[in-house]
Amino acid sequence: MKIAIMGLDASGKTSFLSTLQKKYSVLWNLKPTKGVERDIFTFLDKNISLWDFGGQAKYRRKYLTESSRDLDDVQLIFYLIDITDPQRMDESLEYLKDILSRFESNLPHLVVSFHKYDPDLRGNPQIQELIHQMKDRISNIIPNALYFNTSIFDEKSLWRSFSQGIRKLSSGDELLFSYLAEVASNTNAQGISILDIGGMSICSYVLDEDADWVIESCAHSFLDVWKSINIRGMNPGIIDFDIAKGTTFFTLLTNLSFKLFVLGYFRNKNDQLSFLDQIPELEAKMNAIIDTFFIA
Amino acid sequence: MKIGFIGLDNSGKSAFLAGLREEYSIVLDTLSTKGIVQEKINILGHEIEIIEYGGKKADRKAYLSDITTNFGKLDLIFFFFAVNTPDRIEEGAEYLENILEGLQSFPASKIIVCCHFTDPDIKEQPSIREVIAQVEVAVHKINNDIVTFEETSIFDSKSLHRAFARGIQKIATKEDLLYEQLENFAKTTSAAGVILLDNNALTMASYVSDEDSDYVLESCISFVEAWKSLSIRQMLPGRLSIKILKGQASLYPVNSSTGPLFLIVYSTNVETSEEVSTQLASFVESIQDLLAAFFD
Repeated sequence: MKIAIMGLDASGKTSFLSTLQKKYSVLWNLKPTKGVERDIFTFLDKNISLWDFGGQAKYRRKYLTESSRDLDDVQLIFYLIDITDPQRMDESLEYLKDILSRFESNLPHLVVSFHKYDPDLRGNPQIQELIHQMKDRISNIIPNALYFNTSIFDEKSLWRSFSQGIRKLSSGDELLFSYLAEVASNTNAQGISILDIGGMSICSYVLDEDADWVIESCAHSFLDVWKSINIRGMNPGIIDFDIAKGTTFFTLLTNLSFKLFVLGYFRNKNDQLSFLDQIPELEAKMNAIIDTFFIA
Repeated sequence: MKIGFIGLDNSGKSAFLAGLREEYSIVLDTLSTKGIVQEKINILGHEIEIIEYGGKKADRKAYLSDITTNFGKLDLIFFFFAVNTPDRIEEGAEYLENILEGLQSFPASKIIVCCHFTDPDIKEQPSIREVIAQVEVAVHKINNDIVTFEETSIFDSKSLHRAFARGIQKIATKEDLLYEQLENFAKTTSAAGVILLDNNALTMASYVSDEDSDYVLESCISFVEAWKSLSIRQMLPGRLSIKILKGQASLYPVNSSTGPLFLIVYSTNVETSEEVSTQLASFVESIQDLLAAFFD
């Protein structure tokens, strides 16, 4: 599987990848990436190659020349746009167009990250407008792109875009999702999410925006606490959280071939209990699906 | 109350403060601070003045020419060393020494030494441990009574909160009384530890019976993130608990006259949660006056 991370120079590609890998200390003195650098990520025990395409003009020209093989077989592109640099939107769009025109029939999946959207900039009307315009313009070039707002100071935003992109390449993703949706409907769940230990969402089903908000709000905070207590060997167990419209709970799935967690959001405790009853079956299904997650 | 942020240029003072304010968009490219920058923050309804002393050589020289005027009114000093520039430890220590000589009787207990840029990915590296040890030696040469050392990184917001909260606790005149109240509450509810946080997740006081309890409570501070995120969307989050070994840690949101607070209670006794429910309101009542006069 070949995955590319692309965008203009200084759009934040290398810091995006470094933060995902928790290599924070390198962020203090990053130099422009020279040409293409390859990195290996692990997702559900599978190695995934990620190609960081340095964005300086000379390299961009090189990738786009007819004889270049750099973009061959790329199945997924994470395209980063620095939203704090409005002057370069046209240039960034041109580059994206040029990249996509290199692919004839097999267009890669595209994940667009409006990057450097740091938490303190959220709600800035100019930036919101800029993102809105860019979405419009990009959807004229390519339909079906996924869009995310990302910041290295909001790690969950990186994980969210990354995992949703990776899952585009999975043959098991839809299977898992429809199974999760079935469990949710049987147990009256508002939302169910399966997470790996790194905070990556393997699959998530949410009934509405509120449920999405609950799952997003809780996942990383719960995982942080769980991991921290676990490191000390103190056996963290179930996490319970009462909220006005229900209850959420979080636990490790113990009978899986990987360390995965489930986070559920329910209207009431009874629904939560009926979900707990279903966990062994969920685990069995997951084991079967995950084994073939990336096999076409 | 006046808190000074002091250290050489590029030791991370501005980034620390920006991280604390969650102004992440400026963290990575803060410019050298020129001269003295003042701001006011609010803790439990009390105004605290933060004075940042830009660390450029010429500025340092100017401050040292009139130490009493420049540093004399400070109640607390955060002194910064950058662990990524070990060759400047001596220069930093000399700066600290000059200030303390000029101030004569500044209490060692009101000095917090921050070993900054201790990013999570390098924190345990032997070379970094060595640098931190060197900082301690250099500081102890100046004054052996300086004992508060913190390892901080803007990529670990808990480390900023922990360091800052330790400072706040040092200048809070009612800290000892608040501690007594927490101890009392823990004992009457058979809890192993109790921690009180302000609405920014800063620890105002904590009572723990052993190291495990301390560890659990520190870990659970990350729950505040989930709580706050749900409260933004007005989803009325309530109690949040995690099961640990034979025990349980719970976060309780409480309202006081000085604003919203969080109490985290850890216990291995099954009766604690019932006891907490019955005693929580009167406990909060009993600390209102202390918090209202926290720094008087």
